[in-house]
Amino acid sequence: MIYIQFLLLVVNAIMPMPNQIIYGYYTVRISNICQIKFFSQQEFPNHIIQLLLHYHQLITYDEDCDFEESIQNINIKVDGALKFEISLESNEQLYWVKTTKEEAYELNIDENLNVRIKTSNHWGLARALDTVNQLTINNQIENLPIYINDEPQYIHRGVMIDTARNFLPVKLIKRTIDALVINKLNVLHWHITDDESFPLLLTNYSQITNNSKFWKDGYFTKEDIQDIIEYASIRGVQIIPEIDTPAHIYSWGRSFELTQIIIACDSDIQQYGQLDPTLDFTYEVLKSVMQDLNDMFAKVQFIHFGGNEASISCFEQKPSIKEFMDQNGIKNYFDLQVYYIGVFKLFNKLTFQQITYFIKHLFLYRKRQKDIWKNQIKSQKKIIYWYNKQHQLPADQEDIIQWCGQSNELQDIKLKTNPIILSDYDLLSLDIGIGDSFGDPDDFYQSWKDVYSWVPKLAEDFNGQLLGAEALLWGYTNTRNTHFQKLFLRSSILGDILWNSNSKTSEQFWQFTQRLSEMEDRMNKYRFPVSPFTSGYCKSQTQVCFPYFYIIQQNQTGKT
Amino acid sequence: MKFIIVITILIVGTYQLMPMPKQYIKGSKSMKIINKCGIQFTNAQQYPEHVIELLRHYHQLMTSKNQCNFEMSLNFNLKNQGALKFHISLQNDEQLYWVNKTQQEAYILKIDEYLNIQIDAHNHWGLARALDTVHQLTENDKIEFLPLIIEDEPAYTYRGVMVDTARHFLPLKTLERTIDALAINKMNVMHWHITDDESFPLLLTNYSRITHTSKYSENEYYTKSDVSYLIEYASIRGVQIIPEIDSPAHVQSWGRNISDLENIILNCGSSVKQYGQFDPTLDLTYEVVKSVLQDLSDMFSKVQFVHFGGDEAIKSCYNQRPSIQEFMNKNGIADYIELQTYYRQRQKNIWKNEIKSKKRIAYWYNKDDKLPAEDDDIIHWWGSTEELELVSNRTNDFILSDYHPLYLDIGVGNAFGNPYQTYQTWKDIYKWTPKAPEGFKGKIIGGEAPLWGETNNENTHFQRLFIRSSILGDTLWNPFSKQSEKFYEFADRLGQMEDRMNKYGFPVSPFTHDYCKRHTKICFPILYTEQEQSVEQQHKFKEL
Repeated sequence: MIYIQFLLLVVNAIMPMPNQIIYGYYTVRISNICQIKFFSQQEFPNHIIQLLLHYHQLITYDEDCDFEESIQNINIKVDGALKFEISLESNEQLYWVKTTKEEAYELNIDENLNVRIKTSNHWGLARALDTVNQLTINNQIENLPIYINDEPQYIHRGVMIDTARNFLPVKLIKRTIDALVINKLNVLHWHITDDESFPLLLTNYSQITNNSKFWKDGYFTKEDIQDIIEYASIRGVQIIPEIDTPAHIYSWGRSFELTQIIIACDSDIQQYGQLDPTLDFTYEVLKSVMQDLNDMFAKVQFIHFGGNEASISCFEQKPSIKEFMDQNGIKNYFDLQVYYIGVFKLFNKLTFQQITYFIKHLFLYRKRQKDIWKNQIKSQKKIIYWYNKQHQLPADQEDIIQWCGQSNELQDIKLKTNPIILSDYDLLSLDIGIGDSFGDPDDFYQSWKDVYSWVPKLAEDFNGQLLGAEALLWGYTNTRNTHFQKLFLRSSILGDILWNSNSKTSEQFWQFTQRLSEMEDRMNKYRFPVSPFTSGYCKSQTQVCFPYFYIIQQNQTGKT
Repeated sequence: MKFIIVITILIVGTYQLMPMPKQYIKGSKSMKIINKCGIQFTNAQQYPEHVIELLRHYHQLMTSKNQCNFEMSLNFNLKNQGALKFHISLQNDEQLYWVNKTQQEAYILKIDEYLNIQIDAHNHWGLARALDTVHQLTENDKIEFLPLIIEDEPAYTYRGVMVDTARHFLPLKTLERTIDALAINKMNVMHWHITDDESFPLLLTNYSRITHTSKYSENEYYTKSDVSYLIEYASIRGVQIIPEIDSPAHVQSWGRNISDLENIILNCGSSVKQYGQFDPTLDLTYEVVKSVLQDLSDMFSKVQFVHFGGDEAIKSCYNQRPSIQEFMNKNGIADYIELQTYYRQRQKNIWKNEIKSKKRIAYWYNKDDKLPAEDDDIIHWWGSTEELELVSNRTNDFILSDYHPLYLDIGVGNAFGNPYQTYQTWKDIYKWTPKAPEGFKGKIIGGEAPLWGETNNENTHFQRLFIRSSILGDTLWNPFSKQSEKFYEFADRLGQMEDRMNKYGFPVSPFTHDYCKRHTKICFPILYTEQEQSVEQQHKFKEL
């Protein structure tokens, strides 16, 4: 039997696929890789120099090239070298972009290796440079001349990382940003704090940080934050910080002065906590924390307030809650849970007085928190909240909803007109399936094919505005040892879908896996220890192993 | 002037070794090791090279944070205060490539208040285990509960993992590091599933084209000298290598794109033809098998036994070639089980009578494998412990690799990204112990956690192997320690093993988050029973 290996043209192996490609038939060697030049009519500001430096390092990765000489004020023509001519509408440094057009770019590469990039700003430039880097394989470019016109489909394309369950060092966060960029992903949602620790150094309540950190230097300073935000901005990635309340805050109360603001949840394992929404002191601490948040993250677009999983069982420990249950004939937790969900479903029809004690307080908490944010701290930043089937507090018009429920429950929020970020629990959770923090079974692992089969499934009469999606990597069983393995290649596939969800329909499944395979090689080349998506054999023989997309692949043998 | 600080421990403490020694008697004094580099091995001049190399390895581990000179530790017999002084006595100086009795890994370790360390062991394998214990005891630059006497011996002689270099190539360095990782878990077997359908990364003598045609890239294969090097490396550390060349199934790589060998392979798999099985009726098949087995015997002359695989030969695959049915009719072979037996007999005949190897052979077995086994064959059981009942009458040696929970690769999707069984967590492995059913006639020599390589490469290797294999090692060395400790004490030991492995640069998977790792009493008060677990699950639902 003879297998013939069908290789994709490099132009068709880009991940994610550009919107439009027109290409010719010439292959040109880059014989002069170190003579790479970057030219612009205007002088490059520093943030663009930094971006060019980054991609200069990637493009000349195996060489030892000097970057300084690559920056040009005049357009020198060197044979066999990439000559970039960059034209940007704006030289301003941006920390986020609001429209997909801002990441759009036009790219022209001719047979003389003149690389012309036209784009709106440095975010679009970052995407264009990434495409050039992907086209430059083994020091040559095929299918010249090439014209590419590209624009992402969704504006919000990201991953979430969690530094509370296990600390992740600054260096690792920066590397995560680097990994996002070569996948044209543009959001790093940073779940900073949780029950387990609060690794962000606070100004007035530094004891929260110091009493909950895992080791001496296991926390982030204001300088670290600025460093990370700059680093991300240069590469066209926005940071979204999350301080989760009113649940997930056990770490706030591990000092004598602050124990009172915490209601410890659970009877056998006292490791979850909720803020006591009835105390003024709670809001005093909250205000200070949010002031720090606003100061440290002044340059980001959104703030994530979490707001998930506030559990009624935790409030049970307050006598007034118990009283309420007795009065309403609620006997156990499950009744309460049912009641709780029921009330939310009916929420719009209820008068304020009818809202139960605890919902009132959750609601009040959110109101007071927002009041602090808007009126006392005077922040203009929009707020993101977690939502799923169980947790659907009313959202203000400008709030952003991050959906972490099941894919088939999206209809539950179809009436909401808010901007929405999808993080479907069943397909976009990168941590599940390998056991929870107690070594107990924890749902099913989502393979790369599960992520591949994900598409935003919106109801027809969905009223919200879909911004995009995030893959979530909760940190219960994730450390630097497993970080890139869990994030990638699955996040690469999400990035592919969010940039261009149509590419999958216009290619064979083996063509997709070929692109994935090349992404795996690329990430390995740049020393990201990603999980392999298949065996070494199938990776190099995608047409044999992945002729088309099986619902359930055949030939599964018992052992392996 | 150096001071020795002796702190008396008032509270009764316990050692947190992993695995736990069989028995120990301890005192109440704690001694600081203030002179880390002053470590001495007395009478080192008389040690043979392989012992010196073992000492060098543990010297590196024990002084990893310092720049200490190993030669100094061998050559001077100064009385260094606050330094470890080893006095080693071995019954046997010979270099061993395997041991087959638990006594051969037994040791007696005595440490007094002056940091004199007396090790009595049978041979360098026992010494390796003793050094590991000393290494664990001295991690924080002090030794507690002195004076102490430890008498230790493993419960099982075979304690291992399996690695697979056919689905993804693993660099020699990764295999070396795997051996290092095994040694600090007192594990002693690396079963090496070298070849499979996907590739044959072992350089053959007569059929090197099998290697070169199927390798993944220019240099991704192992040479004879790689193999010898690895066997030496393992032997020094007290680890045996078990090489596996799987046949008659899992052999597509032997004939893929090789015109003169294509015929020996039947290509199987209904839609994706990527599995291969030998045609057992062809003489050419046995010619190739003989040459490959000769190479195996030559390259692995020092190992205890070889693994012939023998699993998953599929009936439907034989069906596709009518000549096979004809052959069966002609030779009175009734069914495919007999056909496979025929293959196995011819293969064994080559091994024993033509190559004249004395090495015993291991085969994979589960409930579907009904093939006869000879008395000296080793049955590598990958079915469940309960299913062992089905083979109660077999008197062979057994290695247990229960599909659940010892398969380390399952639960994260297969090579096609499709669901593939349920992930086995560290707690699943914790709950496992070797159990023979009533009336079981075989002998369980130990256990092994296989890490199949479909979705494993060097990026994920240590994460998948550990920390779960550490728990298997704990169970196989001393299955009783779990009964005499609280669950959180076990979790403590596990947490320290995780720290230890991280310290030596093994990127292992964390077993829990950092809070629970530091608060084991809070998070792991008891091992929840199934019932309690379901309550916990309810709780989780609530939390979602």
